[in-house]
Amino acid sequence: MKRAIRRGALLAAGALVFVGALAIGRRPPASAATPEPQRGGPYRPAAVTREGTELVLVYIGSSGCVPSNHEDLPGALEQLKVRLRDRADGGRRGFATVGIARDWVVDEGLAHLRKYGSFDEVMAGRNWMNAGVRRYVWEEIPGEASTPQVLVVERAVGDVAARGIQYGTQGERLVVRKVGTDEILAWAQQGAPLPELAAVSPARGP
Amino acid sequence: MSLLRPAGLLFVALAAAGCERTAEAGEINHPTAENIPAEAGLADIIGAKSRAGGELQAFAERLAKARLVLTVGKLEGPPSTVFGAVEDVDVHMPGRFAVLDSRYNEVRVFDQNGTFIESFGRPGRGPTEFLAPEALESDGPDRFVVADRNAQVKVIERTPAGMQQRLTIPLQFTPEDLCVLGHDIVVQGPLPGGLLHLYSPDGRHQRTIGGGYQSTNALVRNQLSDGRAACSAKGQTIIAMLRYLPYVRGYGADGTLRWTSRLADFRTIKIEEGVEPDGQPYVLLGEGGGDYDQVEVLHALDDGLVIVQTARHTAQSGRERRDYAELHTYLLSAETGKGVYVGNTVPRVLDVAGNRIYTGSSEPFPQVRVYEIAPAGASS
Repeated sequence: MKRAIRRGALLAAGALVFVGALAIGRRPPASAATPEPQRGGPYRPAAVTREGTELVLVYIGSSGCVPSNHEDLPGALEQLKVRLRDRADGGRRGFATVGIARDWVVDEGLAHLRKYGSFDEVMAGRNWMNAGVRRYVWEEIPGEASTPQVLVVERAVGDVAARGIQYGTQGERLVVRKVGTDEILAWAQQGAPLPELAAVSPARGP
Repeated sequence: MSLLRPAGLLFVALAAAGCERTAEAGEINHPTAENIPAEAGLADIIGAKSRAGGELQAFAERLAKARLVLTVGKLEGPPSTVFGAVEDVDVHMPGRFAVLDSRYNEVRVFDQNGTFIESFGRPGRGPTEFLAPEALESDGPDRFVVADRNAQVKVIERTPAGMQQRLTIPLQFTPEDLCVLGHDIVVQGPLPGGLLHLYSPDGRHQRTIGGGYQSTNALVRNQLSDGRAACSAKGQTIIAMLRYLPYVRGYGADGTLRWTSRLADFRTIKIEEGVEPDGQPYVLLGEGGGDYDQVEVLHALDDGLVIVQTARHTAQSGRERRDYAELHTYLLSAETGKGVYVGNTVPRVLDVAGNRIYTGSSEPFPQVRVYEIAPAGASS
């Protein structure tokens, strides 16, 4: 019996090693949620990343910034999420939303973002040195240091090194940036128009 | 809420942002006497009823009647037609104009019909990249000068290999405006030694001229020395105006102050300086409301005239979230400083070439609007 147990344990361990080897360099596993594109309804995170090209809606605000707490902004942002999600789906792109709160106190920032519904990803803390703020205001996609603001960026998602062992994003570029309550509200009212996007291969789910 | 320039111990609050403060004893109200020139020395005091006569008046009347002939920019469409923010326009050669887009950090070139020709620039800190472009000028058809609030001036030229950055001029200040005098580059920005900084075409600093706002408080000096500058080739005059004060000044390239004029109807914003109970100094602009003006445009025309535009801000325009309530236009002589009030119907001028005025608008979405001025002698 002990020998059988040991053999079984060895087989199981070997199977785990084998599966682990397969897992290295693979796409991150999807959750149990359906990978099907959302159609209609309020925005909810897809809990899946589709390889190909994706649009990302980024919101940057702060609990301590009066304009970021304008009563009409949450509704406008929800409209933007839904409309841009549908636009991305129609354009064969993946879609994600990122909420960034530049509060010093993380919990206060997260509470601020909760007013704006669901995001696929959130960041909070460190004021203007927040990692998301650094990326979308100071560094890779530089712009005005002002809140609230929203951006739409486009980027490629997948095996960016084409070697099967590096998964990430590349080629991120600004599609549109709207700064200040008035611009955001006006843009939402205008239906979130975007410059024409180039045709792409359909984004693929896992 | 905007992130203002890091200011150490200093705290600057704008009433428009909704913050309220209590005035402390010992406050200083600006402008102080040292910043108010004597009336007797003024070249002109220009008000709504000013009538200069002659060429100045005739052109002012034509300018007020300019008609819209071209609109460039769409709400959606090909990327070249969708602007993020029209920061500046420069007519760099006959039949072409360049648009500086400060959101997409690029320069786009169009022909006189509004057809897109080319673009250059992208976001970043490298060659032919911009972080926060503020002003665009050209020095000939293939040489562009861009002031970037990243404390740089970049000179970009056309080469057989395309548009390439030829020169970076590092600055010790944040540039507010830019013009070209001859081939020299004039950059407006506050430094203790002066306001207008002249650089040779190869980027060497030649001299600093012009006085900014006078104050022993460095932040007050910096904040209130923001403004606009323009270069008039005729007479080699550099014209400057501080944002919140009603004085327009003309300097020679050697720094000589040639004239100072005052805009009679300019409403000065309330500017208060003080110290908090905890010892933190502060400067407040516009506390308590009230209408105020600030300079929006200084633009020199080829014939020695200068367009000055000031924006009137009111409580209503603030409530309605408009850029301003009214834009007042004046026309001055770069040589003498004498001027005339044009009116409040001329849109915000970014460049003038021949009989065309190039303007920028953000409502209902970013656009360039081109107007034509009727030729001299034409009936209205």
